[in-house]
Amino acid sequence: MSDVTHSENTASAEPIIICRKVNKWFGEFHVLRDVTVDVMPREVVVVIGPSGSGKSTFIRCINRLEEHQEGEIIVDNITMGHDIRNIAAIRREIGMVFQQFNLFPHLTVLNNVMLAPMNVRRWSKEKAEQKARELLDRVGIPEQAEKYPGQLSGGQQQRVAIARALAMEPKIMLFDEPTSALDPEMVKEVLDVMKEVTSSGMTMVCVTHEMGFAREVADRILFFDQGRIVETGTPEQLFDNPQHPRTKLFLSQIL
Amino acid sequence: MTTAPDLFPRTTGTVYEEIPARPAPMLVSGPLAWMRENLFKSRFDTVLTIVTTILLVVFTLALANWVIAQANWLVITRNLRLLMVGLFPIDQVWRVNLAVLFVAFALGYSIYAYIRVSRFVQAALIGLVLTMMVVPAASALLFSTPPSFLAVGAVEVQSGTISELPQPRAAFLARQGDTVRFEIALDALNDTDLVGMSGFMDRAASGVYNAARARFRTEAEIARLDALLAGDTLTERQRAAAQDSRDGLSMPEETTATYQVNTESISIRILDGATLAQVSSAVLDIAQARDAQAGERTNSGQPIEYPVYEFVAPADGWYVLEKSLPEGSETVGILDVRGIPPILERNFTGYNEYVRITDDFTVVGGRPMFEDSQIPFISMTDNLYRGERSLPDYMSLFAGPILALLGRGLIPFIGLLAVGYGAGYALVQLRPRAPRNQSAHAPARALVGPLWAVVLTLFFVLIYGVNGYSTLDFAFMFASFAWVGWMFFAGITLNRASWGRPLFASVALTGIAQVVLLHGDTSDNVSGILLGSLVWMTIGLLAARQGYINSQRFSFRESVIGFGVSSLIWLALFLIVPLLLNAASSLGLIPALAQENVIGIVETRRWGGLLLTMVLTVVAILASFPLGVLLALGRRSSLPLVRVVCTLFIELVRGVPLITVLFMAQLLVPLINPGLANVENAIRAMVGLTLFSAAYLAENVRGGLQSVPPGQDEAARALGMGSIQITLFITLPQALRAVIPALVGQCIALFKDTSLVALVGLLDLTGMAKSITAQSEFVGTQSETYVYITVVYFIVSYFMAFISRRIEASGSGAVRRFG
Ligand SMILES: Nc1ncnc2c1ncn2[C@@H]1O[C@H](COP(=O)(O)OP(=O)(O)OP(=O)(O)O)[C@@H](O)[C@H]1O
Ligand SMILES: [Mg+2]
Repeated sequence: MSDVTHSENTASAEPIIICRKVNKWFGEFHVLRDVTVDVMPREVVVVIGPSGSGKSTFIRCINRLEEHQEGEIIVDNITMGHDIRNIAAIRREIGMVFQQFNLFPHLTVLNNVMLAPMNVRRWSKEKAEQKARELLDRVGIPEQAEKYPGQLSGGQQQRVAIARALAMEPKIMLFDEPTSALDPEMVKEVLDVMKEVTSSGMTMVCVTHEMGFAREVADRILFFDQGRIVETGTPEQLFDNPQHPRTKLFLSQIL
Repeated sequence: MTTAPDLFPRTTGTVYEEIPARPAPMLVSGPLAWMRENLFKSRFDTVLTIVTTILLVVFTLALANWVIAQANWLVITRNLRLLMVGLFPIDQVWRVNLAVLFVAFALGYSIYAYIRVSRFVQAALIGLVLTMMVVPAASALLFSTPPSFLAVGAVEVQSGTISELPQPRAAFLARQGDTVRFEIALDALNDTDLVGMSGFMDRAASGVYNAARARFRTEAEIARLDALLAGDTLTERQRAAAQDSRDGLSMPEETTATYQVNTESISIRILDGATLAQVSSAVLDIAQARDAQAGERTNSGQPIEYPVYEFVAPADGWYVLEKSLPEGSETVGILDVRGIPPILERNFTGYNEYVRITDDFTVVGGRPMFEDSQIPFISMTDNLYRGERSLPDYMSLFAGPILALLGRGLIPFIGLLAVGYGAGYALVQLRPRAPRNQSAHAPARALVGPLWAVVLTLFFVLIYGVNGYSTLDFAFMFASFAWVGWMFFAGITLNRASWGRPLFASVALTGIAQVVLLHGDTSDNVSGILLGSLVWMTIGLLAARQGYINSQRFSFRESVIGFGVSSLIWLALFLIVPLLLNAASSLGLIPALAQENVIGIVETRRWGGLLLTMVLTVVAILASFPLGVLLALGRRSSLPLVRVVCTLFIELVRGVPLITVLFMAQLLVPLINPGLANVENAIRAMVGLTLFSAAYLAENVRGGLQSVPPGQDEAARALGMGSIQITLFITLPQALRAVIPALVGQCIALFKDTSLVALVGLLDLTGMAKSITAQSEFVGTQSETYVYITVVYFIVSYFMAFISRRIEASGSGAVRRFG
């Protein structure tokens, strides 16, 4: 079924994220090597791979939290360069959820969600608050609006973080291991919210180790190793019939 | 069913018995157990406890002894005003008092908003107020003033290098019904008694006392040298030197014999202070006194009584005591007088005020004259306290009067604290809308910032002053502010009721009318009126807009109350006060309104004492805060030039002592630009303190900035926020919260550091103490003065530390990190 969606997208539209031969170094260390990938609108891409393979770096290059040195990244028809206005414009369209939640501890949950729409999108306070309450409702914690992040559980915090990213009404959502810092019993509540987000037709790039989740929601899986995309394919292709020996080894280790 | 006994009985939910919760066992308790547990647990603990106790007791006793029996606290009583407000013009001191009361109100309000005041603190404050009210009254009631010893006669008494002639007359203050008791000081019949006399002495009596003391000292020295010479511990040269000293000393004659102290009868006349008419008179017979002392009896067997003369004042006011020995007498008499407490003189521009030190009995002017010169009165400086003091003396002379003086300042202060606290309470009662999981007092917090902004502005305006404003001008100005409040509530009704529109229109028209009325006579031209109208209408419309927007937040009742209150204030200030003032001035009760200049400028060089210390501290803190934050941000900037300049400044200032910075501000600044030479000394000190404090603050803030995890910045950037927004909304708030304790510590340090301005010639608390103790009148009172300012510094710093601790504890300042 996801196959169908994918092909529909390919047929109907331009890719929303285009990476061509992206290369990046940390000092002498070559983290990303010729990464080339296109993401279609409404497509859900899951990135997997061993630790240190460059998954986070890749996903952070998409909204330019990291700068790449060679190659080309085009998001929503805007080329990522040194132009600050481009970066600001792109970031407005990309929401990001971090492994460590990174909520603003000095603001209430409500204000965490309202801050960026008010200051970046210049929404009125009323509009921002309405949107924030709507989103908190959607992620299932409307009653926590007045609390501070420190008073919430990890799962609740991550759901706030998702609401905060969604409040900017982004076209793309990036998730960097959103469940890795959570206690096992909280993982499900966050994954449920993420599934709900995918079902609303959001373009999504997600780094995760939750293979069940990946299999369920992903349109496409990218397998990273040593800064390269080693193998790519639908969940069925990649999980059930991996081609590359590195992929086979990785899957045998974690499954 | 037979089964083998179950070796491992499985516990299921129903098998085990319910175990009810029990109270925790009582620990061995009681004072003895507590002491054993906490003080004498091991041998080492015991030793430590005992040693500490001994040190504590010894120190406390020594201190108490000094405070009560030796210290001369009159230096504080006499100079309290100097120590508090410096040379601030006396007729303007009310401005300082008013400003301080505003601050007290704001403090009380903020305390309500942020701090739970424990029962203990409440009780302590009430206790303090009671102490300041009760102790002065009680000590005046319970303890009589120690005697004053006054010399009588025509003989000059040698006292060191100067000689003193007993004053024939002395003026004193008495209330109607006060009893003054005179007798011959039979305590002064021999030198030993003379030295033991305890009480006030005028200069001549003091001379006699000193002579007796000197004789005893010489006697002791002779005895010491004789003992040395008799022994064989000295070398030849030492022996020769000692012999020299011994030869130089001769035993003086007994002082009482030299001056023939109290060998003649003393005549006393009491005169009315104004007319110098005799009110009463008496002769104290010396023979009778000696007989009485010797225990002689009259022929009828009755013991002979001391000749005592009691004078009961017929009315409040000045009296003159005239004392003399028989004509041609070559002796010195010493009177023992009870019931004449010394007087403090206060000089005001235009008149002098005289206050008895034991109570608040105050007389304005009217000092008695004799042959065109003022009669010396029994004052603190002319009458030295001699001898060891007892607790009653201490209470009636020092503790009582000082507490009364302090109470006059502190009781209103504490009262206004309470009023501010009550205002917070009233506000929360009026609008009880605390969000969930916040303290019930939290709604009061919204107004803390604006309140302080207003209070601090008022404070500085009051202290520094503005020229050319009369009471009337101020009444009108505040009326205009009330009108702004009026507009606010009119804005609410505009959004609410059908009659809002006419109401709003009439309020707005009143505003214009008001401006025309006010400026019609002062501004010569139309443009002045137009400008005034424009300014006030803009402010008024802004307020109305706010009211209109926020109208949903106010209930109908609230807006009616608000409208009513601001109308009342407006009416009172715009109509009633000016009417009253006009009436008063036309009746000649107050000077003509037009010329009066209620709060004229008081130059900073007249500021001093605690006032100057506080002003320096507050200005330096307020000014260094934004500067320090900017420097901290600059030091972390990615622009190399900005970073280098900020780093250089911070390191430079941190690398030199504050006193150098202050001297640079004093001396170098005029060199940079000669125009700056006119800047007042105090302002330059403020600049120096600000720069110094900013550098340290910058380092604290930088620490805070570093403690903000990088993820915060990333998350904000990922949301598309710009770097200025991130700094303002994300990093800085977290950084500042993290360093609140350090910042408070720095404020306290700054408060104490202001004392260094004394070295560049400012009369802050320390500088004032220095200059007071340098006056010949107060030589030898360094200890008392510095102990006093130590206590003041301590109380203020402790108060700051207390507040900050409680604010931290209340959670408002705490960093809310992830659970
Ligand atoms: N700021 C940095 N400076 C230098 N090296 C870095 C930096 N950030 C990441 N690296 C290195 O780059 C490599 C890729 O890091 P990255 O965080 O992208 O891995 P990852 O695939 O997300 O791993 P994980 O699954 O552990 O999160 C790692 O070897 C890491 O040590
Ligand atoms: Mg990672």
